[in-house]
Amino acid sequence: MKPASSDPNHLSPGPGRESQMEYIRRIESRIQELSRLIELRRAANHECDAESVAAGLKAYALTDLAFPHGEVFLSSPSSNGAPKLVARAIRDAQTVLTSGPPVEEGEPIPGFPGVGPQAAVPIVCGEGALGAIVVEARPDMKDGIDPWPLCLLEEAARDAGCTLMRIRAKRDRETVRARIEAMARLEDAILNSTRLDEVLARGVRAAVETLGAAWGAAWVVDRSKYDDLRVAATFGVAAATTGENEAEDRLDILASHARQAIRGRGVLRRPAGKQGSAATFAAVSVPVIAFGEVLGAIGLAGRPGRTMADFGAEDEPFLRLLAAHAALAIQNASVSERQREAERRLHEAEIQLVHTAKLAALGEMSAKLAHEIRNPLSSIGGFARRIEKALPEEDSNRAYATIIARETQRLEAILTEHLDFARIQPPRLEIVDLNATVRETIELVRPECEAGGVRLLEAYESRIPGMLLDSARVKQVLLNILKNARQSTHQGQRIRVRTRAADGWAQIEIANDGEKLPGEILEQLFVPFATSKSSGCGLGLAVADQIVKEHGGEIRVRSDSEWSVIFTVSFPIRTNQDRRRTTERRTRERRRAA
Amino acid sequence: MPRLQRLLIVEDDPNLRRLYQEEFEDEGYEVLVCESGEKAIDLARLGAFDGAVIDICLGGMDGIEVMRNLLAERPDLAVVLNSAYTSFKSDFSTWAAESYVVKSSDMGGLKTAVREALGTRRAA
Repeated sequence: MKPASSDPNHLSPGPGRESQMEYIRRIESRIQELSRLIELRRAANHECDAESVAAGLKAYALTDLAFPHGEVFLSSPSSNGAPKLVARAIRDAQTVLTSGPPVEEGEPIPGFPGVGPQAAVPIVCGEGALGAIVVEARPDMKDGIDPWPLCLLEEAARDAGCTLMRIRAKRDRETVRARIEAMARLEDAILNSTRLDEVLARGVRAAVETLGAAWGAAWVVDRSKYDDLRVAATFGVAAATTGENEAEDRLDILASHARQAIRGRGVLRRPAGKQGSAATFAAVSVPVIAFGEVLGAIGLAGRPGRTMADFGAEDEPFLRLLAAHAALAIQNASVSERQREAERRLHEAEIQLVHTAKLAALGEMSAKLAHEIRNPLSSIGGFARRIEKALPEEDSNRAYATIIARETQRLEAILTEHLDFARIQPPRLEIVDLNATVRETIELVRPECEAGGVRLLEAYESRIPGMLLDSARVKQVLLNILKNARQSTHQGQRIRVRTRAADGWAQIEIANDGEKLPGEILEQLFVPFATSKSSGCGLGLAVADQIVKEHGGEIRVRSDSEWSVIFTVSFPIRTNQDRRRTTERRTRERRRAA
Repeated sequence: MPRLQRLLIVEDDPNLRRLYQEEFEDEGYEVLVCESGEKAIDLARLGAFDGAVIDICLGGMDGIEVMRNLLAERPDLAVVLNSAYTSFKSDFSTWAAESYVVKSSDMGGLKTAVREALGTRRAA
């Protein structure tokens, strides 16, 4: 204990009884003062926030030490404008005294008359000062402040320093724990959710809650929209930052702030109340970067009710960590998005495969059956015709032979219609204008549509190249689908036919807004013999499917909110061109061989 | 009187073989018949014929194989493929045939195909 002035502990009894009594009284008074100090120290041990500690210290100075004026300043990174006297005490961690009215110190202390001697006592713990208490004595204390109360104040300030340090350490521990917990929760979200926006929402929430911001947002760079920022998640109340402007304005300001952070690729901090700027709230933005690629940004704004109203350098490591995790989440999400897409395709391929297998098995069976029946049928009918020719016209047996021949022919027709799954003729491939093929087919169903009050909408893509197709077969396919569409539409409903060229495919889309097909029928549509209609054996679409497959194409069925059934018939443009060349080459070779 | 055009029928169904033989003889062809591809190739070595009607689904060698063999020896031979079976559908090798006719009790189609095939070959 080394007070700045003479040793206040020095008390010596004067001569005489009275002065001895006075001596004892002074000793007693000091004991009382010291016990009060001990009490204060005990009380300080229970304080858990800096403000209470400061208030306790100030109360001690004013009440117990009877200073008429006193104020506590706690240092913080953003504390500016502390009176010079205080700043000096904090800087030097030494008590600074003024002997008389502190004119030479230059700067008045707010709320102090500045007429009596002043003392600034640093609140110290260990090396540095955490703040200072400044007091002013009565103006009649011409010799400056008494050393004894100053000594007590120094002691109390030292206690306060230790308490503040303890509180700060505790707060730091809590902060670290809170941040670790926030990271753990975020980690959990990343590992247990594949929905990016959900993960980012948790990240923003963690940042807002952990750093005590009013609100925050996460942006993702949208590559499909000229790298614009998309707000992926927000947390907190934007309007709470100022209460004056609209939340949207706040978001815009923070977004432009985030853009700056992205461009700078570093943490961008903006102190509150910056002049000449629309941002009157404290803000911080950190870019989200993975493998050198900027994926987005996280931004926080506003720190209501915080002593340290600005975001400081101490917040940076946490924000960077958060951004790194957000980057992971974004990467993760795009991987799972790709995975989902791959799974979806796989599922489709499996369905296609099962469908193909079913069709193949059935096709094989029916073709075999057709063959087995057709051979004997041909000889039965053939010989019946011979008998018919051989017998004279008046012979009644001739009529029987005619009947046999005719009935055989009918059986053959049934075979052709229903069991000849596979193509009977080799494909008659020629270069055709797909649009013309579609138009010609539509003309076949137009009268029926007009009669039924069904509207036909047509749109043709002019950029489809000439395709090598068996146009009669393709017409058969389209007709099949169009007839299906006609059958499921009624007066006032529509059938839309359009052609398109997309991603190497020439597509014909036939949609109608008639009866919706139940999901299971949609799935069964191409399975031979499955039909939702009461008549017909349901081979039509299966045959259509097969024809399109032989052209290397595919038929798909789906529905959307507007159209109940949408058939898409696709033919590959490139492989079609290849096949066109192959066919030309083979023809040349055959001619040479012949 | 010009030489009758000689036609080879390759068909494993005995009834159809007989029907075809009679029908084509009525049409004025000299008809040779056999029930397998192997025999058809043997016959081709023994003597000339102008055209062949070949069933695709035969017991041993299939009709397309038979056609290939025959055409290798005699590229000018007129071949008409005839089948009730449809598994050859996308086999481009069938294109080497003059035509392909599905079996039917109505022989009209087959007869026309043979007539046209022989006519084309003669012209060529």
